[in-house]
Amino acid sequence: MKDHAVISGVGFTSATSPRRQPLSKDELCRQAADLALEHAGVKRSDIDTVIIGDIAGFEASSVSALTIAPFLGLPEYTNIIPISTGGTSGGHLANQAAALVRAGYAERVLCIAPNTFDGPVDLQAVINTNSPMIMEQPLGMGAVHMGAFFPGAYQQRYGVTDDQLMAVGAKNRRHADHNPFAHITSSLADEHAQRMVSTPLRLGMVCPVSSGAIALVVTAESLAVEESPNPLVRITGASSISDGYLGGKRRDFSKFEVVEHLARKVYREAGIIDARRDLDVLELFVPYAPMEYLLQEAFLICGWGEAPGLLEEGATSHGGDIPTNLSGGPLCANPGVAGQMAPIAHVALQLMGQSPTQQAEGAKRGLAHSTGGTFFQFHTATIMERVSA
Amino acid sequence: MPHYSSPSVQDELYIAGSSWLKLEDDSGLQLDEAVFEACSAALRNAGIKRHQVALSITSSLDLYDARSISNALTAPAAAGYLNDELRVEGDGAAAFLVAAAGLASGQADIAIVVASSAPEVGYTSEAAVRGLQEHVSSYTFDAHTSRPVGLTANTVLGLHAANRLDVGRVSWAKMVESTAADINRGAASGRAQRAATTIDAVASAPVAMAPLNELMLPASSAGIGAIVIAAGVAGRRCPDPLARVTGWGSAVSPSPGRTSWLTNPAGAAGKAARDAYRRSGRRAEEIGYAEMTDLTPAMTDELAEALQIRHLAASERNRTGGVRSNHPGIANGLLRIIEGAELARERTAGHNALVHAADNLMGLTSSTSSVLILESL
Repeated sequence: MKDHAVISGVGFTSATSPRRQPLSKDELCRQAADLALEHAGVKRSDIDTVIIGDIAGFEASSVSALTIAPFLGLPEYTNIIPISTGGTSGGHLANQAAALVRAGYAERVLCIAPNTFDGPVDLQAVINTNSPMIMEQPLGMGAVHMGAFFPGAYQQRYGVTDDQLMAVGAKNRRHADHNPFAHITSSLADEHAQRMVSTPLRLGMVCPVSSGAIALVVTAESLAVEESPNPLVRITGASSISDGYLGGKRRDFSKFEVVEHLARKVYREAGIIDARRDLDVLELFVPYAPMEYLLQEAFLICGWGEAPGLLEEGATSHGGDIPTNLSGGPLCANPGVAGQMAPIAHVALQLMGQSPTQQAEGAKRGLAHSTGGTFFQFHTATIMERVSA
Repeated sequence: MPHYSSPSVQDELYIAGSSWLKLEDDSGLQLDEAVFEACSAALRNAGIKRHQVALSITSSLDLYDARSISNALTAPAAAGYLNDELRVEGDGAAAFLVAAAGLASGQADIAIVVASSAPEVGYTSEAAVRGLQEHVSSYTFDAHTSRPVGLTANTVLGLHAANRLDVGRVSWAKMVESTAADINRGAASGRAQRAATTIDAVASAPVAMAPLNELMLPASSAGIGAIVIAAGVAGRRCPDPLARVTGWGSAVSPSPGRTSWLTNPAGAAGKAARDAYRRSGRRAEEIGYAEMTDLTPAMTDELAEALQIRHLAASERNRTGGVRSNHPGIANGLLRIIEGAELARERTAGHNALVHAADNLMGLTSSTSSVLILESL
């Protein structure tokens, strides 16, 4: 049965630091699945496919989906699709579930986004192994160093100050004060926030390493109409993009050029003509605060170099016309694959009118984004729209 | 349970082109170069230009590729640059079905699937590749319950074969005979990993995982496959498509913690086959040829029964020897589809073939079985 795909259930576990996490990966995933199934109003036996994400090099198992799945208590022979695309694994989960439902391959898909960072002792050293072997690896580059290239170029191109970069972090931590699933809030002391990590990124602009899991139920719309107690949130646009492997392929580090390409594609699919007018809420995967500016521009919310102005006029805060990262985003909780799927989960709850964070009143259409890979090679975008009253 | 619809025009999927790159010790290609070569050959075979591809699906494992997020290196080489891309961490046939779903959902009209099994161990001999696969397989089992007792893909296969010998479902003589026949059927093909052999040589091969000996296990190899799939008119306008995909199904076998993987190891294959038959509208008796992944000769009969292909003569199953001639790890599923599609192209229009693939990441446990029904054009 080919049908539209809707997000019918969302389950979050709380987020904390890996050192303080008392639950195993399997337990967290089971807990998130239980919450999502209950929210969607479906039973385990209703699920025909489960999609589980991982970042293989960060895991204690190869194809960790195969060790997580048995703990979910699903019926024998349930399809398991392991997806592993680095920082976009989480974003791909819901997108792929939507493709399976639209194709008639599945009717109810459980998407599991596990915690990813509980194992590695030195995360930057692990991340280093995905970078090109000839140049970046010997230089000792990790994600935070790659992440610093972009704001450095952005500052040079547009004359943006350090304070303007830090303002994104402060805004998102204020948002996170209202998010019960946040790991870091505005209680982060300024003396810590100002500590330099990789110029121009200071600690207050850098995501934490978190632990927690998230699950979604993606259902055929005609079934969800009958069984879901929630307003229906349809996935109206879903796509991804890959840039080249080497950092040099980015061409201009002051822009996420490749995201503009993705935005045009996904907006075309969802029928979005004017992004700022047509979208009500954004959740962007921003592990480094200044990326929010670059992504807003690449998603055509404003012109190049204009995003700091949006923040200063309050447009991207709660109550503004294009609220961005009302959850606080990954700057406030980044549990790996779960952190990558969190934007989709938060936008879905916003559109259902059930946000656990500050609600964007009347929000009908939203955008969620994830990114990863060396020098942010990969991106996903998901457009969701409330289709019931 | 999904309520499958009958195939619609939008579901009309074609295997437009394919290629297989067998990797040798002296291939001299870096991983991304090898992926690029395989994908370029598949596109040429399909008569399709790279810019026509809108979806790129990869099947690979980081631990084979010796780097984290290895698809970052290979995606641009697999037509993924500025394209929709995804990596499935599983068998090539599972990746094929994800690509097919992408086309059937209207996400794209033309997709490429690439499956890479190019272990970074310096050599491509069966022993070298199998050693790495067993090592990686150990890491695939649960760290607390299964790894400490030594479970790997091959120990699971050995446990199953021992059980089947114990209960009289198979005989040692038949396992030896069918292994030799499989290897010899494949030896003449250009893709074989094993040379022709004799029954005596099989019987006296070194024990690998009792009761299975080395030649009864899959013939571990290295290789990269690529298939171009096209939907509707995009497929019909290709110069020489290999086959039409009329049915598909997939299911995952029980985890090691359940006992049914041993009592009914072909259960998942059976479910996948039933779904594929239902989708395609074909009956089992209409199948004239099959490619299947019987990981050991102890599995052959019960797998054939589950796939409902017992009626096929031995010559109409695994023409090139199946996994005992060549088993390129997680790329196996794509190789089986390529073999099935090439055979379909040789047959007259309307002829039906069945392709079954199952990963060997954890032997018969937690293994994804994928079944396709292909129609000759």
